[in-house]
Amino acid sequence: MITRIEIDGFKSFENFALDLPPFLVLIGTNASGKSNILDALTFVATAGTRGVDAAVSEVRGDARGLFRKRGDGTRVDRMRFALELLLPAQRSSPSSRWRWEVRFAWAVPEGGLEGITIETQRLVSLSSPDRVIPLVEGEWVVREGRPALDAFSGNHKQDGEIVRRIKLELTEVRSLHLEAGSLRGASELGGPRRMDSTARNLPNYLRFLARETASENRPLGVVGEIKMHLVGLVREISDFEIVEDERRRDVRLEFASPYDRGLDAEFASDGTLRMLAILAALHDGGTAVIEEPENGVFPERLRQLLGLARELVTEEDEAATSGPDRPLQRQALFTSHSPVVLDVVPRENIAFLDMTTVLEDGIASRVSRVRRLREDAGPVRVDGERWPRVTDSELGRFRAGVEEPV
Amino acid sequence: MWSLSRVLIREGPSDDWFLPILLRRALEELVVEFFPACREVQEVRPLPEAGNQHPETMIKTLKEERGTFDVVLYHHDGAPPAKSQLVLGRIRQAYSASDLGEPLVAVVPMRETEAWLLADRTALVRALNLRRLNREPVSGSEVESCPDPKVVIDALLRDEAGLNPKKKGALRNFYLSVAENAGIAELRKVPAFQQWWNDMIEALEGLGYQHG
Repeated sequence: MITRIEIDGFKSFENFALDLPPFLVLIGTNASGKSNILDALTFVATAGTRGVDAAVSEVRGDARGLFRKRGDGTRVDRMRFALELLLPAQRSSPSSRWRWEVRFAWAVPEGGLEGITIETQRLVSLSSPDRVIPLVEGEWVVREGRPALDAFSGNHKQDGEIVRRIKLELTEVRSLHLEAGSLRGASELGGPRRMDSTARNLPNYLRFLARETASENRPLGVVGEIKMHLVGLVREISDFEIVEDERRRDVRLEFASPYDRGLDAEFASDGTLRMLAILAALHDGGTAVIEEPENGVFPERLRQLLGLARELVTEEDEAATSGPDRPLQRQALFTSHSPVVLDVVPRENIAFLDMTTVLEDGIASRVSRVRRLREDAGPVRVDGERWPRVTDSELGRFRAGVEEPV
Repeated sequence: MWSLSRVLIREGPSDDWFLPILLRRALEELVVEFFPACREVQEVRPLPEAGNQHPETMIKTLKEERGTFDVVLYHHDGAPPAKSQLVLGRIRQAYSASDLGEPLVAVVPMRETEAWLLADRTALVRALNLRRLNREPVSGSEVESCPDPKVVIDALLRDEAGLNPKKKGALRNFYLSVAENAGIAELRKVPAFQQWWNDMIEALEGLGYQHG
């Protein structure tokens, strides 16, 4: 579980930090940086597990364009990230907390092409602060396709195990920017097990989740729960089947309603398919990062979906103390424009994004800022928070659909 | 780090289309020029619930927002002068008598805020995506002698850009676009704007900002 992200120099972020509880909704107006946070998380997790080239291809924008642009049009040359993670308890070891710090640079390595290079990185134990897994600093330590985390030396078996577990956590970061065309498509038999960020390959993903979590008494595993929740959230649907077609060598979804069976995904509503993809992501292990769940979804159902998501995540103390038979560890991060969020999500699970102006050597640059919401009669200023909390006056404008500062 | 945050007490919704953006941009230029130690200029946040006529309501709202701002910007149109000065005096008196310690800086165009929209003709051309203005409206320091800037804006939209100024959407987006584009140097030629600029410098000095 990722418990904190720090970003500097990536897209709209300058010295940005956000604590991530197991369930968090990022709200704010257009162009406030909500999607950029998701891109940042995807970028750094992919760089750690699959390498920089894969990381660039997973996010919006070209390699140089990922570096923050200043107000005068120039770009910074460094991007710094820190991720703090909670590794759950395992049979032989208690839970532990780690911090991965990594700095990327725009550079031209000797004999190579220009591009993003990892300059330095280290892993620090937050449970025992003296324990550091360092790397050589000040030289180009990782190139092109190699996963950043693979560069940590494996001198100590214990260190290697920690790096392996952190990689596993980061492999399970899944972001969703759903696209109607992808949601409706069939999967190929033998194709990828997981859906991509647009929800392409949803049928195979559901098949994979069923196989992974099935037991004797629950042959569909978590997909049984997904079916139940889909019926509860989308009243027009009474069931769906994952149809494996050997002749066409594909896997399709067929929906049923009380009055109609065998309804192909092509004829299902956008809202139904979106809801199904989101439910699938929420029932998998790891961190699900979901953009704008309200699109195509009736407000009351969004309310129910967010309520359900809160119930599905693993609380931090549960992750830290659960035993060998622990269920899947789940974390859910959403972005949203919807005021419904304010009615259904507790304030401590909401972060508000907007823009501010920083001044660097006489140059004004617009960057994202994040603020927590003020609790009822709570303080406006809180130690450790860079900006004052969002007051009811500001929330009133967000609720009314009035953008600041208009 | 020095970070500047302000709230705006304003007259009506159309002020929100123009003043928060313009004043934030002006503040960015002001601190770069005079107070380089300042590292951040936050959004100017309007407080519609404060009204701008009744000191009690305004002060009550500001107390609820205490801790979120360093400076209070108080906007009132300058016309008619007798009424404007009366209201401003009443607000200043009540504010001084309250226990709010943040400086209150008045934002008072000579007649109406709309006069400031006209100050930079280049911004008008850009906002309306024209090659040129066929009929030059007043601009620069002359805008404050314009008897009715709203009429000039209506004519500008209708005659130069073929837009209907009675349509709120077009009017709003025109105001916003000018707010994003207007040259602050041009606005400083307008005496009332320069007065606000000077008052703002004084307020920041009072907050301990050092000249660079």
